[in-house]
Amino acid sequence: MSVKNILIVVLLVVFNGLVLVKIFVLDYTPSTILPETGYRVKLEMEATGHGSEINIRAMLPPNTQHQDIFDEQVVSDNFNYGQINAGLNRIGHWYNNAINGPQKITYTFNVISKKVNFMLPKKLSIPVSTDPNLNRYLEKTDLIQVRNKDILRQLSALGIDRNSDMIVAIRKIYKYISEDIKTTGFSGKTDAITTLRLREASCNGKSRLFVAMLRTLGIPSRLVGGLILNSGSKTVTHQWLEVLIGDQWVTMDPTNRHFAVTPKNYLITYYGDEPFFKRTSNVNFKYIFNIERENFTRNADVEGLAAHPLNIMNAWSLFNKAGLSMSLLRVILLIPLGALVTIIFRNVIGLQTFGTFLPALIASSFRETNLLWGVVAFSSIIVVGSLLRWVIDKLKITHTPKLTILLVFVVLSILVISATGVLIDNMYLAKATLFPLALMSITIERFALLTQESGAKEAFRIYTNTIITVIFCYLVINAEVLQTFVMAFPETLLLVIAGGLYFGNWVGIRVTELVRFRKLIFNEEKTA
Amino acid sequence: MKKRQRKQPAVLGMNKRNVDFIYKYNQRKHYKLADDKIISKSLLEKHNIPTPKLIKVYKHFFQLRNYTDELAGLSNFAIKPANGRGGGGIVIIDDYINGKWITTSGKSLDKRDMYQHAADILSGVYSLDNTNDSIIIEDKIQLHPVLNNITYKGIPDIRVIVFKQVPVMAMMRIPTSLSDGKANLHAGGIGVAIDIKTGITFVDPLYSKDEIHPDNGQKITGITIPHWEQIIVISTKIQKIAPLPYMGIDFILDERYGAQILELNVRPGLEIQNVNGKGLYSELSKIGSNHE
Repeated sequence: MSVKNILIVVLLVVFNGLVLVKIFVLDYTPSTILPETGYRVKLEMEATGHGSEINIRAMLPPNTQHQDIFDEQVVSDNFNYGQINAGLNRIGHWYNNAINGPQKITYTFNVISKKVNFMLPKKLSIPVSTDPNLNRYLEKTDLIQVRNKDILRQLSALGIDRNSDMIVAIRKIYKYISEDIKTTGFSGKTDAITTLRLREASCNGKSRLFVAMLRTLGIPSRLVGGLILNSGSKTVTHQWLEVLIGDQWVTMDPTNRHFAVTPKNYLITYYGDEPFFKRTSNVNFKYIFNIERENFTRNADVEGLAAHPLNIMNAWSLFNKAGLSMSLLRVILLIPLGALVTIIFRNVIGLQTFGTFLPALIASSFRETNLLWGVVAFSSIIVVGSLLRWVIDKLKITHTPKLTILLVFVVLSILVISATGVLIDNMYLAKATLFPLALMSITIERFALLTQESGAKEAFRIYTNTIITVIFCYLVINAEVLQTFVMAFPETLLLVIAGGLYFGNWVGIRVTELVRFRKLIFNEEKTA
Repeated sequence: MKKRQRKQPAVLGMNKRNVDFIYKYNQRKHYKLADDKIISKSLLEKHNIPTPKLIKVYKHFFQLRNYTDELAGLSNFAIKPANGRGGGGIVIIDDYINGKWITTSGKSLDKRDMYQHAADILSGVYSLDNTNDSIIIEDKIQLHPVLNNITYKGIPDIRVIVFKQVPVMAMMRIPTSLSDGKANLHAGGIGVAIDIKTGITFVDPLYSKDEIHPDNGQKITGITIPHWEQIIVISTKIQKIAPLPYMGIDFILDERYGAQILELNVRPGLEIQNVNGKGLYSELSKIGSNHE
């Protein structure tokens, strides 16, 4: 076995050893390593004051077994901000004695949630509650008319009373409300009796009727308010309910028909028959929820990893102190992987590109612009730059000064592209500033020189190869799973060294050579 | 353990050429004997191996001050980058008329063009690693009539791959109207295989069916390359003075001096395999690559 092969084996063993030690001795688990899909939710509120006092209260989502809320940020403008804990609920409170003009409040948070399936017992009799803590889940209110004669009549029409089996009773009521009560888009509040009489209501009316019927039977239940998380903007909130079965609160949504399931994209914001917002009445109040789907590595997980020895997360905390971002660290750690992709494209596939590591560097600079806009910006700079270079060439200027002029052009075009991005509200284009400037001007020169020496066709062929390689580098560098993996296991870079050693003395025929020498190879096989 | 018995492909790929031949046999410190034409030419001249006569060398920008004055009135010479790659940056001057230099391909160059070209070479535009380079002015060859007959506006050259002092494979590259006077295959020149034993040209049916030059209709096969014995003798001798066991040698045929070495290549291209319809690796293995 050659020294190179021994080295490769040693690197693989060290890598595997470190990973196994981290997993089995230091307790790394997939959930601490892999990012999870979640949502970034931004609640924007606007109120216009006229010099008098303004109070605004909004329900803030709690942490539950269904959802994990983190990275909450409040920007309150001229308001004072406080948080009130009221039982299970958290309430954000913004206030000011004298406020004038329009004021903006934003409340942002991230949420990772999971779908919860509730296991229900086969049979259960309706309990006789003696627990005074449960009284509030059985009480009659103005909108939830418990033991009303219409409700009692409806219950007996469904064939249910206090002696019925609890699960059977809940199923019958669920079936009745979800199927026989029409769902409409009423925007206001609807009480239980109105819902029953009209046989139609929106989510809040249907949920109130459900609760009223359950409570009439003596089954503790409560309304739940929240939001259905889908990418986009919305003002529509949602209501459903929970029933206490045994010792667990079980989710029921007769509007969207979820029985004993909390869907992943349900955000619980509060419990009880509460309004989402409470506010001083004479202010022009507007709100909107902006929801984005995103992959998160939870902060707690990151900090947990940071506590481990041998971990790059410690490097991250250093980065943090220096004011550098985590995403920069990610890109730095992933550039070698991008370079490995480049090696494979050059030596195994055999695609000639501009510059050895240019594709990896270009791909890493696309992290802010995204792939599409990155390629657009990069290509336009190269093409326009080549035209400019053609003009400069007419003026007979020597090499290095020419590159300097091209560099100025690259800098200016990046500024123009960024400014254009801001103007047309394309934040991807606006972030084209991370392009490797000097490499770009050298690429323009090479592109132009190649056009001159071997024709535009050849230049565009190499350019296309470069872009193909860039795309693959980008996919590798920006793969969230890989990023998190390399951050948790920076020893992955040992694999890049192993890859370099392996491909460094790999003597196989390149894919493009199979095409180039196809006649020879095909003929050889035929005669063999 | 079962030993893997895999048939080695006859074709030599880029990776194998680099790892198993260039890196394995050629020592990097000797690369300059081939890469730097100034060193290369002086070595050849020292050992009386024919090569086009060196007229002048320019190494620094300050020397360019009198560049065009010194070349004024001069005709029949070639301007080359000393560390050029792939024939880039080579300009061949046939004539000097009314203060302008006329190239083989018919372009006329004024003082500014000449200076710009010289400055580009010195800046490393054409060099192997894009670092500073030198300019070589050498005698333009007078093409041998046998080859002059078949070419189109340019000088055909003869490439011989030599491994461990054994000439392995050879071809001739002939300029066409498409290649603009250049012999390079990727620039559009045509390749003709040469039988290494007899020195007679042929076209392998796998590579091409054309036996005539596309521009002038001359037959390009069945030609006995003049001075072929001399070419073989030089090819076997060269590695004794330039210790690069895997090498490509480019010859030109001068009417006056016979076979001359145009340049030595540490990284000879692989297209010669297509031209000859034969894989290089199988040929090299016969000589013994000592490959495990």
